[in-house]
Amino acid sequence: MAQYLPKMTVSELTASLKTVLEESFFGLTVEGEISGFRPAPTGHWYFSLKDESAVINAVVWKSMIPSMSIRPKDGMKVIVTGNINLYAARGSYQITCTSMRLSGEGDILAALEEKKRRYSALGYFDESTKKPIPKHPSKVAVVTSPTGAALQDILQVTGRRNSSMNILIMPCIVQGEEAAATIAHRIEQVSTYALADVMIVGRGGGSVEDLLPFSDDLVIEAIHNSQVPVISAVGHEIDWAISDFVADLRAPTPSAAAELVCQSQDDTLTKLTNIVSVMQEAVFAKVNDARLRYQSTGIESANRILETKISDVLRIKDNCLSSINSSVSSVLADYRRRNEVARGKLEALSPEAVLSRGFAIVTSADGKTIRDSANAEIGQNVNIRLQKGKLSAKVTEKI
Amino acid sequence: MKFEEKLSKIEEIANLLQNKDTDLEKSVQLYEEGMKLAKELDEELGKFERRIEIATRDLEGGIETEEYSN
Repeated sequence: MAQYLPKMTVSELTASLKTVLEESFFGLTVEGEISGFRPAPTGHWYFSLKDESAVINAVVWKSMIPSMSIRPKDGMKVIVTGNINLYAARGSYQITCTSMRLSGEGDILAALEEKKRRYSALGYFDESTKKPIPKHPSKVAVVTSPTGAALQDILQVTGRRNSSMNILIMPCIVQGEEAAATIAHRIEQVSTYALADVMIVGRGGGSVEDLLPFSDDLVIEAIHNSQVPVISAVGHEIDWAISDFVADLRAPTPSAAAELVCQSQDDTLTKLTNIVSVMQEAVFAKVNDARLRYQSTGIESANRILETKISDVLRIKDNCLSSINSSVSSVLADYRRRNEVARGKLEALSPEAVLSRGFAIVTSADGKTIRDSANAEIGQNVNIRLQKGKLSAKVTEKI
Repeated sequence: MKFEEKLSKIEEIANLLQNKDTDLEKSVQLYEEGMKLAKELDEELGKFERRIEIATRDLEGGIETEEYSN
């Protein structure tokens, strides 16, 4: 007589089955054909996966749908990952999918890898062939779909950064059979007619198949031959296409590509602001050095030299900086403060102020200030500048 | 001078200004040259009013574009 386990209720049995099934079958990767795909009004996707001799129910919960790289269609061969769940109320089990991709994808990826190796061997990816991305592009061409998210992302990023860069949209088809030819044609136009300083070639995310045109020979050749530097921006961070490798620069996303072209402009402005600061620091340091040096050797020469030089510096600053925009305004404000200080010092040192105290400036015939009696010869004619008027005199004795 | 050349030139000037062997006379000249370049560079950075165009038609030897609006 057969041995039976103790009696159990349907619920108890189902609970045991659930435990065994769910604990044994998780983290699965299953390949099969989609059938009976039915998006439910609740937002979940229900379908079956089948092959020649078996079928299993499957579900994609609504919350997981955004992370699916493809939308299922009956007859589509897919590879899903997921876990087995048992639904006790109906005595059924199903696979709850966490990802889904086309089952041919492995083959596509292998072919892509092979193509990548081929172009790499041809030297298409060599660093030495990369053109530098201009630091100050005034016009950027965007080769992408006119209706895609990529274009909107690029316009939004460049707009938000208040870039003054001009943008030329080169509309093309970015997926399907005609895509590669239209993308290549646009790249060639930008290059041939020098329509921009740099171009972004790309599209938003999609399945491996969707991105294939960017790995097409036509597109690879067009990028390789382009006279205008190319930034490739295909899909999301994790996606890639061969255009990424042959391009002069790869951006992880279209938005990132836009950031890159704006970034250089921002950097240039920051750099310029810094250089202006450095020059101002340096020229003031020179003036201060001169002040210290000349003050010890004779106040009148300090006055003359410093007056000319400081007023030169201030005039240059006023002429050149007054129109520099707000990005340099902090430098400018700082400069103005220093200007005030300098003017104060200048006034205290001005020749008029000194002469009014009864000092005089003695210069030789060639206009050089005589600071030391050793620099004057007996019998030499000198000019003496007083607060009011000038005198001409002859040196008769060195005392 | 191209933008990039001006940028290199102004960097060179800033370096010379920082050199302690450069005398005051020369410094003021350099400063003047540098500030002129700074002004020009700044104006070039801001001179473009952003324009967005879209290619509409292929032409013989070029393309036709029009102003882009969303």
